[in-house]
Amino acid sequence: MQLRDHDPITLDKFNGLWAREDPDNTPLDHFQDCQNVRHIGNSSFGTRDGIGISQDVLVPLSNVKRIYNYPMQDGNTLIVLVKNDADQGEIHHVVDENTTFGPVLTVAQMDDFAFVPYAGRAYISPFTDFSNGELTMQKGVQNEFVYVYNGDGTQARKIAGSPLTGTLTIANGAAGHTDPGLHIFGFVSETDTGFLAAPGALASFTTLSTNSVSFGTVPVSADPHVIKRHLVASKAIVGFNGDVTGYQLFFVPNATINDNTSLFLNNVSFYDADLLDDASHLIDNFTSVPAGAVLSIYHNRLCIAATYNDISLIQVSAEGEPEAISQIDGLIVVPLDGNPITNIQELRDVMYVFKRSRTVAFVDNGDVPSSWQMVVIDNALGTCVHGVATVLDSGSASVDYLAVCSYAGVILFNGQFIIPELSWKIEEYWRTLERNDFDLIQIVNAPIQKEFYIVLPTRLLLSGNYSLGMDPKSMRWEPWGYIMGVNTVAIHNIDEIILGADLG
Amino acid sequence: MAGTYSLEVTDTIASSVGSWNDAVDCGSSFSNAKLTSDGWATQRACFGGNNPNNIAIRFTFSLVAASIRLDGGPLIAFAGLPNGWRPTSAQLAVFLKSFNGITQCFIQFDAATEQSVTLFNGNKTFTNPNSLSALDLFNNGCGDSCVSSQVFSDLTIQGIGAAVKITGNYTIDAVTSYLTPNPLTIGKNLATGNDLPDLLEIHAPNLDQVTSVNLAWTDKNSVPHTINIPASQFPVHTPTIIVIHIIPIPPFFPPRTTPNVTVTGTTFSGSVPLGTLTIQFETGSGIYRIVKNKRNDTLYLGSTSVHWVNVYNIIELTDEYEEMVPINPVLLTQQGLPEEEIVEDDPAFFVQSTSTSAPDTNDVKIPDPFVELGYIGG
Repeated sequence: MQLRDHDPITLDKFNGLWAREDPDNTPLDHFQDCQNVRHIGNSSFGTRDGIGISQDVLVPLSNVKRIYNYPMQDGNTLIVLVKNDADQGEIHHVVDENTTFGPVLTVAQMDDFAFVPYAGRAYISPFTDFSNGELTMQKGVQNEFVYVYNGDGTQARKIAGSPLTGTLTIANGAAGHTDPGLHIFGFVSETDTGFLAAPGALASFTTLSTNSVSFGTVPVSADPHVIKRHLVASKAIVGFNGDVTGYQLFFVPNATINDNTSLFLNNVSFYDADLLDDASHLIDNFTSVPAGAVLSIYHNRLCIAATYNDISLIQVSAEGEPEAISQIDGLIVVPLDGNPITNIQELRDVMYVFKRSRTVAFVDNGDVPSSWQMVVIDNALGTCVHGVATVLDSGSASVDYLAVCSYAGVILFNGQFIIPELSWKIEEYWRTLERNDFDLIQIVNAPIQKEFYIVLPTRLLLSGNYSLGMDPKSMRWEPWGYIMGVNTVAIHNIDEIILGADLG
Repeated sequence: MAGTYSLEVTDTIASSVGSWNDAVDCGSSFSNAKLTSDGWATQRACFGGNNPNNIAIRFTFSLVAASIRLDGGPLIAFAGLPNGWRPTSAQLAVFLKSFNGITQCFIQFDAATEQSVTLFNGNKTFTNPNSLSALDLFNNGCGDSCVSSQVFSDLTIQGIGAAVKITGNYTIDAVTSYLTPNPLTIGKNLATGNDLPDLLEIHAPNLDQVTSVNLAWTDKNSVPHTINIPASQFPVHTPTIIVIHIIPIPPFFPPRTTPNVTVTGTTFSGSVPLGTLTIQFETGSGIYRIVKNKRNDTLYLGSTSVHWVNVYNIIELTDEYEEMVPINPVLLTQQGLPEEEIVEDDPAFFVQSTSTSAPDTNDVKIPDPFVELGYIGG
């Protein structure tokens, strides 16, 4: 039917929610309001996809607070935080729909956790909310530590460890060779995750050129995860001052006890020229690493930030040794401004460090982390603890950018924040979100579906479709609601979107 | 179990009707409101005026202070009585002393339960013909009321003095009770989105004097909360059944501590556990995945959180004490803290679940898909 003087208006395109400025100015191809619809092709829409259960076990996990994708060497799994009836945080490992391990870690005050996978293992840092005036901030649980979980259903344990202690018995061994003179000897324990503790049970002994050296009463570690013990030694010392802790120590080649039970290591021959692998730096490492709200990997280094006592401190491990963090030169301080570090992300070989309204960068210069120079990227924009989009199974960047949730909206970041923000169409909608609840926001990027999925503090899931282009005007946004409400999202097995819901 | 008891008056709660004039010798050897070592309580009341024709003395018994002896033992407070304690008999012993003009007196448990006495300056006993609740026994107390038809001059003094003691036998009731439905599932029906029935029936004897039901718990932030459901809000209230609404009000669910449910005001004293209640609620919490082209949401149904709730029963004290005593301390002493859900909190514990049994699920429609278009102007 056509009324006189009225031309029909054909609506043949629907480009999602428009929530900025006056609702009367909503373009005709957008929605003033919508819920539970998704785009079909370029111009149509329909009811969103339904959800199915992810655990086909008799007693599935409930009261789910946080889910991360946990890629292991033989497949993708999930690592899940739930709250038990005693209000304790429990970490469970969901291997597949029929197999769940856990709890592999229980921490009373753990309301959330930071996670990073590395070499098939899971590094876990419990954190929670703290109030600082009107600001709610996230930092590591007090008196708690970073844990590592091996992925096999055994209990997670604190990373790092204490040195061996005891009295080493040293004697000349069978015929062999050493550079004669006084040496300092000791042993370094190694865990099943490859962590090398500081040298312990140090003792001095004067070797002979024609004999090897034998060791008895080699201390064993109380840590059940210790699987090896390595002999360390100094080069021959002239003018020994009596302090066994004051000399450089090296790993002795081929002098390893491959268990944590044997009490002796006999007939070790070496020359000082064989002592090339320095072990001295192990002395400076943390024996247990304080928990933080942020975990990340940069240049094969584990980075931990926002601990209970130092909200602007980053603890950076040695390269390839995620549990070896020097208390002297493994620390980086971001300028103190009363706000904690919220996120760390590598992009194009640069480590970007975010606070809620600040972004800085560091570059590995090949020297120790404390020597890395800081570069200010933005003094107004930052993100929240789960505000950098996870892409597929591993990480962060996709097509050389990050998608970041900031107070201003969802913004692309390629070394600088790209304005206008991707969520420009829903600016008003985004600004209604409670800032103190931004830690509840979690974003994943599903490049196969060409969609962002963002859990909002309102327990809705915000879908951002970029199949028409990843720019502010081509984005199509729709909020999705569920009867139970959602509070966490993860992407799994390339394009499987996982949702979690608690009792709220 | 049975035995004997004796109730003793505390000197702070005795009362009398009349005007006592210290300047006038009432002629009595009784002192005012005194508890003697043998359990007798004394009180006197005198008039020295025109046309006094009624003098009364009433004794009540403290529910707070130690005022009752069991089997000759030490004095204990009402709340310290064993669970299910109930008097099977009550005998009032009175020693009356009258003065000028009193011709007839009544000794009484309450105004409707009395016996005429004419014997003065001597002992008189009166056995209560009715069955008494523990609460009646304490709250009604006992007393005497004397009348005179004579009119005396201003200078004429008339008065009475009384000494009283209540003794009797008691028994311990083994109260059987149950709660239904148990477990009780409350909250939202995930299939329909409607509220589930939230009515809990408490079945037990002697519920007719219950005045309220209390729920006390702490939330996840360790903040204590209490809901008091007065008898006026009971949908059903009979001597054997009380029905209440269990309301899933945040932050009640999930509570950090096991909620305690208490009923207030019963005919038996002490505390009687009425049963253990399991509360379930459908939350749909769990791990889900988005399924392309799926036309509904499949939610977990069996993953409801279960909380064990002990139901306690305490006596009403007085109005001002009601809110102060949500849980009977004796019951806590005897039974410890309320039983809690068994929670495996051993950090060394882990379970490998390899069950192929399917969880309970429910398919629900995708809630309210809608769009609201932009303004189409003319």
